[in-house]
Amino acid sequence: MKKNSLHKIAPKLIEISPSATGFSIPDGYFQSIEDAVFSKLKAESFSQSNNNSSFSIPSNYFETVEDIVITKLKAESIQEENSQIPDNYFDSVEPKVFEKIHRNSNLISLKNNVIKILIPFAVAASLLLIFILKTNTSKVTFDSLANDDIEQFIENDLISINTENIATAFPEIELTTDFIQETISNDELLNYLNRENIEELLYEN
Amino acid sequence: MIDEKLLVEQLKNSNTQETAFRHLMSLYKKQLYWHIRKIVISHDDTDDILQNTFIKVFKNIHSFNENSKLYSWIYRIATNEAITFIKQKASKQHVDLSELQYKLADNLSSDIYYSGDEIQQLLQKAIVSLPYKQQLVFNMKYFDAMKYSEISEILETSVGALKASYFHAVKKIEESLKNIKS
Repeated sequence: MKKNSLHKIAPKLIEISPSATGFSIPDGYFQSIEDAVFSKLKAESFSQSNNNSSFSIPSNYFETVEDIVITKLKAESIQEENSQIPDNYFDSVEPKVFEKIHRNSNLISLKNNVIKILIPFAVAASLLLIFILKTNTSKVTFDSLANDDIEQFIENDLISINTENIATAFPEIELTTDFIQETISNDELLNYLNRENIEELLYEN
Repeated sequence: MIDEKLLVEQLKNSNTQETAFRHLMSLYKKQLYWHIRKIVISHDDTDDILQNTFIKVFKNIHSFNENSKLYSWIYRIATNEAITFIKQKASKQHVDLSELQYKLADNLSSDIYYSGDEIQQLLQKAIVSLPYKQQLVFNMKYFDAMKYSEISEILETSVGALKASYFHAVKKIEESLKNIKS
């Protein structure tokens, strides 16, 4: 459409100059636009470079993550099912605890009794081992071991002994429930120890 | 005369990219600014869209296939950015595009970056009352004095369709101006 024809069809419009739209811009705007664009570009690239780019993930991570989550959920639900407590559990827990404490006290006293019986054997075995190692000779026997030497070792507390030593020294000894059921009083035990000759016991073993 | 081919080569070369890009901005910033401003009306919005347009050009220069002119390609990006922006703005305000544009034109008198007189403001209101494709054609032809062939390349519309659009746009605007003045 040429200017002449525009005059004909739009005389009112032609009165308004196309170069004067009325819009204006801030002073110096066009002088600063390039720098503004570069600043924005740099800000964008900085934000992209910080956007997890320094992190990496295992290969196929996103392909397997659903399966991992589902497996975990299933495991948790099984655990929850198993961890459900029986009815009235908390009402019965105290009597059960006391029952166990009582049972353990029997076991502890039995253990003490066993220890008392086994100590002489253990002492003898330990002394023998020490003499063998110290003298480094295969000729050492119980015959050559004087009773005075043994007593001296015990008196000077040169032998440390505990239940572990005993268990190690006598692996063949098994505790049976028959034995546990027997009750041995302290007096009986002392009488037994006084009556028996320890040396003989050592020779027998 | 701009050697577009050379400019494109420089824009694609990382060693010359920044200098070439500054040159490109200095060449087109004013034309693009006014083109965008007539669509979105507000200076601040125009500034955002202009910057985003140049950033898109910078980022996508390697995909510019040189089948069209660089100038047309950049103008097309700017047009799309402006139209997308104004549509999103209307959507956010839960109004349709024409309603938003009319509101913007109606508020021009309170815009610190608008100094038009009454008749110029009436013209803006008449323009925004057009369908947005007719607005584009009218602005590019009447204010920017672009050739139909150039507009055709930018808007990817035939010259014949553009001529028809412009004719209808002029008739409607003239009608609006007559009604307001009388």
